[in-house]
Amino acid sequence: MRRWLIRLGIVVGFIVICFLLYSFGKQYEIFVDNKTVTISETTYEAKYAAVYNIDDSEETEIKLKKRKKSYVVGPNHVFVLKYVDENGKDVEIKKEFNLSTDRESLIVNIPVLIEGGSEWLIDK
Amino acid sequence: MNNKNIKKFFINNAVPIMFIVLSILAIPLAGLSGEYLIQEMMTRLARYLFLVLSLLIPIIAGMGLNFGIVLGAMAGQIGLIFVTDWSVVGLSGMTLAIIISMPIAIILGWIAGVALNHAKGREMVTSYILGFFINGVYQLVVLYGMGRIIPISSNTMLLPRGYGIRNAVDLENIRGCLDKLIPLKIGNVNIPLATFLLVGVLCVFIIWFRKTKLGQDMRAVGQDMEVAANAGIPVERTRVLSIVISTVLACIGQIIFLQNIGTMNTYNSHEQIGMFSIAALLVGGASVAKASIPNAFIGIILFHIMFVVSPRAGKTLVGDAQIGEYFRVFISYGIIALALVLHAWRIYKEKERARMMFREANSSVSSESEKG
Amino acid sequence: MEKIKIFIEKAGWPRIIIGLFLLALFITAPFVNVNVFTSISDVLVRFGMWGILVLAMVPMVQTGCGLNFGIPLGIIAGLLGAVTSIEMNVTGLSGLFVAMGIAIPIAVILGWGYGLLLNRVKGGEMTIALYVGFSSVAFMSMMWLLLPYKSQDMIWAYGGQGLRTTISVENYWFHSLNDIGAFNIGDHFYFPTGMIIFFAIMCLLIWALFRTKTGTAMTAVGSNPEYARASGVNINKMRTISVIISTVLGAVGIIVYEQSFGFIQLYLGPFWMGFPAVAGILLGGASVHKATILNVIIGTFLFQGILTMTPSVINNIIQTDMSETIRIIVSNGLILYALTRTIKAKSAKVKA
Repeated sequence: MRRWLIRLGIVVGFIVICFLLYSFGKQYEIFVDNKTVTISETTYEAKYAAVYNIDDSEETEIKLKKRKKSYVVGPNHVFVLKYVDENGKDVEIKKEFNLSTDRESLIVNIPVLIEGGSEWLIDK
Repeated sequence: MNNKNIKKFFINNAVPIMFIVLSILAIPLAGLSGEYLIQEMMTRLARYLFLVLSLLIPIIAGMGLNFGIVLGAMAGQIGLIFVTDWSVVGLSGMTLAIIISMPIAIILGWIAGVALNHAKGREMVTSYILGFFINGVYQLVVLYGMGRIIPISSNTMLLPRGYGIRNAVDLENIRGCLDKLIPLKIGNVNIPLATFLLVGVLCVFIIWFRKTKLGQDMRAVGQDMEVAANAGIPVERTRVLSIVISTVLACIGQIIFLQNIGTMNTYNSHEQIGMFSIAALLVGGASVAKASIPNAFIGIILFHIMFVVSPRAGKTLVGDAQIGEYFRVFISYGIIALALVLHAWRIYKEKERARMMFREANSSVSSESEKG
Repeated sequence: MEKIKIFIEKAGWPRIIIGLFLLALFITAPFVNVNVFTSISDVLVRFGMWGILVLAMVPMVQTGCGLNFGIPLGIIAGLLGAVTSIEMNVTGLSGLFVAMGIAIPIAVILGWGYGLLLNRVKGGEMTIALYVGFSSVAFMSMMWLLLPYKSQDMIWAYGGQGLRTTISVENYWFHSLNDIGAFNIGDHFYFPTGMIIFFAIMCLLIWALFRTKTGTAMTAVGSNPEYARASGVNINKMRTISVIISTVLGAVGIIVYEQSFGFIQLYLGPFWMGFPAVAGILLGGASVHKATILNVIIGTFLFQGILTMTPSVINNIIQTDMSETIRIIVSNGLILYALTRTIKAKSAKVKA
């Protein structure tokens, strides 16, 4: 009886490990767009060239009308955006985001992020 | 050392000695630098060691050369297909691939073990054909089932017609994840330390396993099935277990192999694995009945030196690299043939000797009884 | 009812199941747009092509040398004969027989050496045969590149040295055997009379051989070596003879195969040719220790039948081309079944 319980425990343990590996090892594509977009009938204009980095990566420059691609692994990340507004002030926006494993490719829309819209990160 | 001992040494180690001689002749012909060779050998050791070591346990159990490690390789590849489709990367991806392929490897290993139990005395041919048969089933699953019955979402992996995995799957996601885990560089040579550590763990496992009850059972079964059965050892089950363990190890070995190479030839990567691993083990001095860890190390180095060197040497000798290629195939199969011949010859000679002694004993007994 | 039962026991379930399966395929064929007459023709042609190669298995099985996975040796002799015959520019039926005439002595020599080897490794013949076969094909692959053949039909176009991988026999003896006395019925049915008759002659020769004193001795060596030795039979000599005959049949067989197929396949062509031959005879009911001519005929027909019909019918049913995969599964599955079956019979005998 006990042997079977132990065996069951090992199998369950493996299944749990599999889920953990899957959640923490899954890779997602993140496209970063600095373009004018319309989401839910609101148009967000792309006005500023910016610089971004995700987690600890190097800063990547993204000019107007450009799209860049990054990869992230695992569920929890931080997106940091830096740009210079009309008054010459340096602005930094920091957003934490969680990814669930059913998503594959996502798009960060910089204009939406700048104006504080809730849908700054959407699925492709 | 008297003459008889020297002669025995040469016969027992005929294969590795021949190989060393061939290599000494061929290396200068190929014109490759020592450093290049050393780097190549490091890489190939890391690639093949796990696979070759998975052959050891069936030999202990008297099952001969397990051509069925191909089955384990196929299981590992299926795991890799899923992991690549799910975009799980790095070490997590590799570990996940290992875990999900293990059940498949266990089932395939069990099938192989049972089949071999029904073909006692013909294990090697049977495992060889079994490899082809399961390859057919693998093709059925991977070339026709995946994408249709088995959900695969990645379009880059599927063929244009919508189902079936492509011929070459890019394993960029997990490439080098184990090798580069602990990078070590001596001079100009890169040594994949983590991989070697894993191989070390396997070696420790094998040495420990030999001392366990199961390991001793396998040894007994390998030496004499009847005696083992009389001693109460479950012979059939022990034999199957040896093949299951070997298949699981081969599954892990194939995943390690592929993470080193970085690309998977969906329908070809596993085919040559059996032949290469067995040839390497035999070159290292192992026989059908006896193999040890040093055989694996020495064998891989010698076999792969020849592998790397012969096309070049062929080009220098005859002006045609193609001859070198065929030479390499010839040597690989010829080595196995030679090792098998030597082994069978030795067994035959021992049987003859036993029969001679039996006959002499009988004749002396009868002459004794005549006197008495 | 009793008669049917006895027939089933004699024929063995596997053969009956496979026979029924083949019948089912033939019946299904017209419903899936596969022409039955073309199919029967195809099966007959393949039957003739492989027949002699399967026949080559018989001598060695009878003397206890196991299944001849080393038949590539014989095939190599046949290839040498064929290639030399083309080099000598002999066409038609004469070309065919010149090829055989050259191949047979080579096969005798190779078979003799091979026999000597096998005599020293009694008990492990089959696995060794496998690898001897592979090594020799690889060795010959090197030779094909080096041998001094010059015929324009055979060497590489711009290289000038070394034989091509596939050599067409179209201008020489393509179908020369098939077409002897061949006849057509309508558009779809072709009967390769010449080849079938040649195969029948070969079968007759082997059958007659096993009725001679040497033949009986060979069978004794395989079924009961102690009795044979006690009767004064030289076991090694009989085994070597069987290996030589097997190799010669392999050489003749591949030439017959080539004249029907239309091509000579060098280099790694012969690599896998042992397996369909082995599958053929095992399917016909032979075991590792006993094989008869009836096994050859039934087995080759069943095997080639399944191999021809299964892909075409199944492809049309599920609208996909799975022929290669099906072929792999079917042929290897059959060999596997036969390899794993014999031991039960043996242990049953021991228990009794």
